[in-house]
Amino acid sequence: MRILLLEDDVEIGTWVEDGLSKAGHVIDWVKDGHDAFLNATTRDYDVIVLDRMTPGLDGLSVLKALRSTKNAVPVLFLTALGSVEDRVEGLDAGGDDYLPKPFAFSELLARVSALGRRPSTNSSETISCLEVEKFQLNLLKQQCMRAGQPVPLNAKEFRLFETFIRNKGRVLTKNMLLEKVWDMNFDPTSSVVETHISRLRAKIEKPFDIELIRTIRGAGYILDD
Amino acid sequence: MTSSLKYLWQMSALRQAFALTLVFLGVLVATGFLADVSIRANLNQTIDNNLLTKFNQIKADLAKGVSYQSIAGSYQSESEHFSLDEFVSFKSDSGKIYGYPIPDVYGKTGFINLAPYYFHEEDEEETEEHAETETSWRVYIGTIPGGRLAIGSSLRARNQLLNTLPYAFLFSGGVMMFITLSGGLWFGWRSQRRLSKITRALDQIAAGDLTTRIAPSSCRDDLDILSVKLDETTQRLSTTLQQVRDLSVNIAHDLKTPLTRLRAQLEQTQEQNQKGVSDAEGVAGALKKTDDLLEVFDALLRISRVQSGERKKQFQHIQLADLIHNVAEIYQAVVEETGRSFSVEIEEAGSISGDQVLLVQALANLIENALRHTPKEAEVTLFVSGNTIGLRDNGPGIPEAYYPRVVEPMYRMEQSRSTPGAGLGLALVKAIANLHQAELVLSSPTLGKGLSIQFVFHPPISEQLSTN
Repeated sequence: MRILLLEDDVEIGTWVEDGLSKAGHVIDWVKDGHDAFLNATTRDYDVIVLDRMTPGLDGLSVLKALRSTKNAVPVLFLTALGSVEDRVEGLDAGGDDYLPKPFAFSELLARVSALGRRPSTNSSETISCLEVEKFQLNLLKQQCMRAGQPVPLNAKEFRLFETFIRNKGRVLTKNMLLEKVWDMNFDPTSSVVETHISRLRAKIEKPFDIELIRTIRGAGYILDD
Repeated sequence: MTSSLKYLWQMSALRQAFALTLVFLGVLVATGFLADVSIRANLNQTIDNNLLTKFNQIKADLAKGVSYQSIAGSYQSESEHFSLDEFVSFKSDSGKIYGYPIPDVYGKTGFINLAPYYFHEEDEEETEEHAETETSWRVYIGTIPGGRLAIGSSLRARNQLLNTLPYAFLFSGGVMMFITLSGGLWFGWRSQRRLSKITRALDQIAAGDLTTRIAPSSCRDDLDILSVKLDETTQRLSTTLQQVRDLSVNIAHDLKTPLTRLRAQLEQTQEQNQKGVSDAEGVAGALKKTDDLLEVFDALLRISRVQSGERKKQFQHIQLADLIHNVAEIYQAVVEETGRSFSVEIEEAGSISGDQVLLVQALANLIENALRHTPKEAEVTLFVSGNTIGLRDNGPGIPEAYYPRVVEPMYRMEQSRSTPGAGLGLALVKAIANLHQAELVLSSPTLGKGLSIQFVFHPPISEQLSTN
């Protein structure tokens, strides 16, 4: 993927650029908001990563300027301002994801990849049925069936499974799951995610002797294509 | 000298007294002037009327046949004295003068003023004494049968009265000014003394001494009330500052230990590296320790954000039963996985206005605390009853004396220092309770055993009104 990175801190910028390059992406790294806007409007990117506070034009202004030119490229915010208000502001302005500093690189990589492979149309929003393997998830009835047989999942387990299917083939980090499934943007010290994933596995994998969700050590979980 | 004058001038009471005195003086001068004018006119009128009456009287007497001599004689007898107040003087058509000898003004008619004029025997010398008694005269001149008559009245009494009038005003004005100015000085000095006490106290507070109190001896007036308010403010400031100081000291202390551990770990890893051994475990350990440190900062920032009250703007209507169900869905499995039992009690659950995300986090913190501090077979109960939500466990609990301390940021009881955490979980819970204006109540559900921590929400004002 071709990624535009706006980050004024040299150390963090170098770290992110190196990491993303090693993961096989092509990075254009700029340190000034004006350059970021110029690059974004003259070249095609798959993902843009914006730091919130940068010299020249700040990240939020760059995004607003971009969206006003009908540019719909997915944008991930990086910021030291981690409060919910900042997050809401960033997402309201048209940002697609938000990652507070400090972050683990695996978290950034997972989120960038998730953004890049997002289908350009939002058709998935209107689907009423999701399928994987022999499972069928009826989103309207909140019902999970396998080969015609109902699989009893509670509401959170259903939502967890649904999230995995929707993000098939992408790594989901613990934090991404906490946000998407439990609406929690804090990191509980106890093993909320691990517990629920193991409960879900006990219901969708064990009885049928299959493996759907794979744990990627130090990164997160993935439901393979 | 100039500075003490300036100091005097700065007394507001004195300035007010001074201004009042000036106004009063102005009024006094104006009334004095008016009084002088009206009294003068009045007296003149009286004198003139008197003269006219006498003139007509004499004219009538003469018409009755009384002689000039006898009329003049009746005045003459008094004329022995210098303090003569009235005179009559005739000039017959033949030019003979009876009565008082006055300058030849008989040709004039009506009222005239005669300059100071002293009548004396020719052989008598004009003495200073005489000069003093000199006086102006008011004279009426008219025609009588057989000649002209001048009748005069002394203006001495009138002039004396008019002369004393300004003195009377001056005197009362002076007394008035003295009283108001000295009163102003006295009140000014008194309130200035109290004000400078306040000023001194404020100076000391500004210089950083928050133990300073004004401590007024009584509570009579606005200055006392101001002093009491200032004392209260200082007290609150002092408490807050102490908390902040404690917090920063605690942060510094509490971070030193993990930072030292982190440093030790990194040094160890470096040593291994120098030996050519790659120490993956050491690096992972260092990363974990860094994450723990970042978590502490994150928690502190969260607390301060909650304390700022900004999130009040996003308050929504929350059904407490839904909130409890939501948290139970997240944590039931987690708690049960640890071997503890988990239950939910819902009893006439109410609804509040609040921040769902923060309340979930508060309950999550309580549950995580319970997981950390209770034995494996403990029972954990999430409950809602009316406007109260909370968590109860049957673990060892904490002594009642520690209840107020454990909700302070970074406070950790000795026995829990061995377990992970920075002592910020309950502080965040407390901050969230404060944001919702809820009371955070700690208690022991079964005499001395277990711990119950609950949020008691106050019903919204509208509901309070409707139930009243």
